Amino acid sequence: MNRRLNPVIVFCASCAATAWVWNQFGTDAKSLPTDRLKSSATGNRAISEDIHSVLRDLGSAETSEAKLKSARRLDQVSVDQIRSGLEETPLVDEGQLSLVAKLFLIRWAGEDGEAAMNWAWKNLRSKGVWKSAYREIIAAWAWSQPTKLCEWAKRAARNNKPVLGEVSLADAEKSDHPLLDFDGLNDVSQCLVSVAPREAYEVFLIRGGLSSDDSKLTRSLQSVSAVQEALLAFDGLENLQPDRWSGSGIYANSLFHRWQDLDPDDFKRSRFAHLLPDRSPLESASRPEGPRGWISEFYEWTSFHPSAPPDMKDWSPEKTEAWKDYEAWRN
Amino acid sequence: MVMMEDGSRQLLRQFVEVRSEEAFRDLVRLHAPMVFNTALRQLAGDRAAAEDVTQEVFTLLSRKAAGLGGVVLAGWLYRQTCRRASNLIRTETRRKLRETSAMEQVDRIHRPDPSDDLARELDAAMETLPTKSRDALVIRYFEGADFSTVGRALGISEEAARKQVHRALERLGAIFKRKGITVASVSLGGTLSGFGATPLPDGFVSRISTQALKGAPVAVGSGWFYLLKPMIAGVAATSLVTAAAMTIRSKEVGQDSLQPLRVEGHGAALSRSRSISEDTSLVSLINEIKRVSSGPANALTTLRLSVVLDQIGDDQVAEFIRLANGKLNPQERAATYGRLLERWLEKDPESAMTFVLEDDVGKQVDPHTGSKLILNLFEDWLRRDDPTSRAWLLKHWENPVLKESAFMGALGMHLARNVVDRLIRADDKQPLRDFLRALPTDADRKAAFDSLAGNVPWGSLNRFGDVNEGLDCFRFIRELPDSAWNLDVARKYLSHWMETDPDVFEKAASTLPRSDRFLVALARLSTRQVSGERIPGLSGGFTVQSKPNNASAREQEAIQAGLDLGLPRGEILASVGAILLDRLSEEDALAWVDAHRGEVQLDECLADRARRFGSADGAIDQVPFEIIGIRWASRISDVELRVRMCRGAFRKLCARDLQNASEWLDKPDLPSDMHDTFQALVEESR
Repeated sequence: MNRRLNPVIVFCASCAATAWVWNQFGTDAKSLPTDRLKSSATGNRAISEDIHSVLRDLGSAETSEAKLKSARRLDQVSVDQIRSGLEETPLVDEGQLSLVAKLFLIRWAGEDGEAAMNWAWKNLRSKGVWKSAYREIIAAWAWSQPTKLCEWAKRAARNNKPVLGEVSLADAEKSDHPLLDFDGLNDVSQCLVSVAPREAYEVFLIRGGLSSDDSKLTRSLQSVSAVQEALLAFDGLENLQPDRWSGSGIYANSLFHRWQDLDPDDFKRSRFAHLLPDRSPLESASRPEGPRGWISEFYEWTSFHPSAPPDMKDWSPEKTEAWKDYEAWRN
Repeated sequence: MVMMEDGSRQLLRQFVEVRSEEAFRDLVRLHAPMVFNTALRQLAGDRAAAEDVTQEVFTLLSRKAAGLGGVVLAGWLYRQTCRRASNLIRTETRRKLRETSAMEQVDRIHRPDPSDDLARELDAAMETLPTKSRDALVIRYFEGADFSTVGRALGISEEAARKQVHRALERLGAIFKRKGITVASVSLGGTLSGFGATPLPDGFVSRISTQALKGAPVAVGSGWFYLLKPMIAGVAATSLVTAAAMTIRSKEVGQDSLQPLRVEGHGAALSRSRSISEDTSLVSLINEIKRVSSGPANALTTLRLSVVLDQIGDDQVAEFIRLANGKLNPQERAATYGRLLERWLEKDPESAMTFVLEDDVGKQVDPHTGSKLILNLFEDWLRRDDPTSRAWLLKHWENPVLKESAFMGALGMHLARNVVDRLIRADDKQPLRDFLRALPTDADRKAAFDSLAGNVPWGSLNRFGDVNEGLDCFRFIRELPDSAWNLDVARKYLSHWMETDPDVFEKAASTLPRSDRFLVALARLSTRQVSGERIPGLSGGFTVQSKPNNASAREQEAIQAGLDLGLPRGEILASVGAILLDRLSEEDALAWVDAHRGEVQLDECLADRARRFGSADGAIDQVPFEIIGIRWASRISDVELRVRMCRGAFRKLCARDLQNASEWLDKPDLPSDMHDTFQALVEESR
């Protein structure tokens, strides 16, 4: 007999014998109350009772604290029982994804985001609450397994090209796997950016296009190292040229600006410094003289004094003429 | 109240005695947030490294558990974390000196996050404290426990624990002072709370526990003793579990079966709100908000944040926001200010809104969220009390905060549009007339209709219920006293209506008098596309598919409608041309202008189109904005304006990119009669 197996067999045999003895004493060795919730032997009836009890408490909770207290009790349903828990839970409450469903999905996604996502797609896509479930899942998933979420989002986008608007219900019902739209990929980037900047931007590059939320994504990067990590998602940064921003270079440009905002001196020392104009305080002092400097002077003046003309009495006729031309052009 | 350290002892004993994996998992759940956050702090925010350290510490715990009976577990874990984190830093530094990191692709300069001095110095200072003082601080602040728990862990009374913590803070303060960091012991307590544990996902806890248990020692021995050990363990474990079950079941009768018996599970960090009721200073709440907000952006975090925000009284909102401005980051401010202000607004809207303006609260969050916050608050107030809210708007019209926004135009104007959108639906239009009269200028009055006229992307027309409501609005606009702008607004309003709801628009248009038919035809001409099929979407709403509206057919209709009304051809073409310059592509629009040269005067529209390229630098398809501007300006008939605008644009290009400017000199895009002028400007700029 394998020597390594012996202790296991002896242990199990001892357990069985001891349990039998205890049983003879009429103790009816059932599991602990906490274990009861985790034991599949007790079946769905127990889960159902427990969930309904939490639901009642959540429904009657008047304060956030009471809600949170009730919500915590759902924690005792083990992850492998969440699926049956969800099946017994009212998923929609007044047209919204119910709090209980959200809490279950959050826990599930923390363990296995893809399983939670597939369940939600199958069961919620026709109920008008898919987006809400999706956001809860990706937030929890990004937190626990950012790389897996990133890979999943890229795979999902590769398999079905994300649509620009909203996915239609008809298309959704035809698909067994979640269909992502532009906003869906955007949401993934936003969730990932604080925990995994590189992954966030990998998804962002797949998303492409422009959104009013893009600046929010860049602003979420709170340190130069986070910006540098986000830049790792880009290929061909060495080929970028100043004033020639196109394609993904536009996104890289916004990251360079963020870098410059966070630490101008650090950016100045980087090998990307040539891509953006210097922001040092000497900038205005180094304005070129003559006609090429007049335009900077014009823009500075008009932005600080939008309706007041400058004092032109000591100006050369050429400068006065140029100023009037700029005024006609800008007005 | 949770007795964390007591619970730890029980769990540790359970793990040591029966190797309960469940007990070990609970230990990890209980202490992993503190361990992970300590590691994260020391490793300058490197999550992967902090996870490694957390793993190492709990693996060590699983091995050494039997010998830890007499120690304060939280304190022991904290010390191990600090030790392992500094080992890692040393190893990494050596390794990085040798290797070329992938990060160097982007000139990564590895250094700690530029957070404040206190965070960097904290753990070093903690290390120098006596064990008891350090343990007290770890339990109180890094694990968020109350004083009675600290007392039980240290084997002293609650009052003694309070004193112990106070003394420890003073010592810590003195250490900081020696290092040149001045901080009072009172505020130090609040600050330390901010370094406390953020919740960790279940997956993380599970991963750490599983790996750690793999490293736990297995029984070793020989002969009968080798087999005796598992046998005794089997008997003991089964007996213990059965006896425990009997005991617990007997106590459980009549109690809610879901009441947790475990010390704390997934919600360990969630329940930390209990410490708030004890320590309600705003600084502590700010620290708690920081801790909660650092979790994932899901419903649980929102709920936890609500629990914290509920601790702030309505009369404390202003004080809280002023204090939090320097302590919370913009994202944290965005997540909290709106909710607090909404609550204040419910009780005292005027004070809340005036505070928002006076303290420029919108600026404290990011510009977009800030503008949206003020818009939402005002809209909420308007819905509940429109006379007072609009009087407030007029009173503060000149306030600098309302003069700008992150959207197009001034924030005050956005609020005014909300007022107009609301009042125009009322049967009594007098309040709307009064409101418009009170706006300072004609331009303001015109802009207040931008939403109805579809001049802003979030036009409100589609909220109209039926034909009569829409016609009622149209008549109101037409009857406004100043015809200089109301015709333009009325036309845009009709166009927006056609775009949004073409069937209802056509029904309404057929009821309008003959005098309005030219206006209707111009509205049809200016509509780029009309709504088509409504396709149900995943979120329960609809996606509206748009169909293009043919411009050339509409142009002839409009000209004919003008002629039918007896208008001069030049006047008709000016109206039609102004619309087409906006509607058509640049190439088609310029071709239209060239085809009607001499028939119509469009200088104002052409100058306006040219100036759209005047305020920014850039290019479309490699054509600089200045050159595009010159294409439009060169069609202007007023000679002086034409020359000045073209020169202004070219001067700017010369200043921005002289080489590019000289390359454009010989291209046909530029007016040939100005070639010499442009050439001279290039020379002048060299």
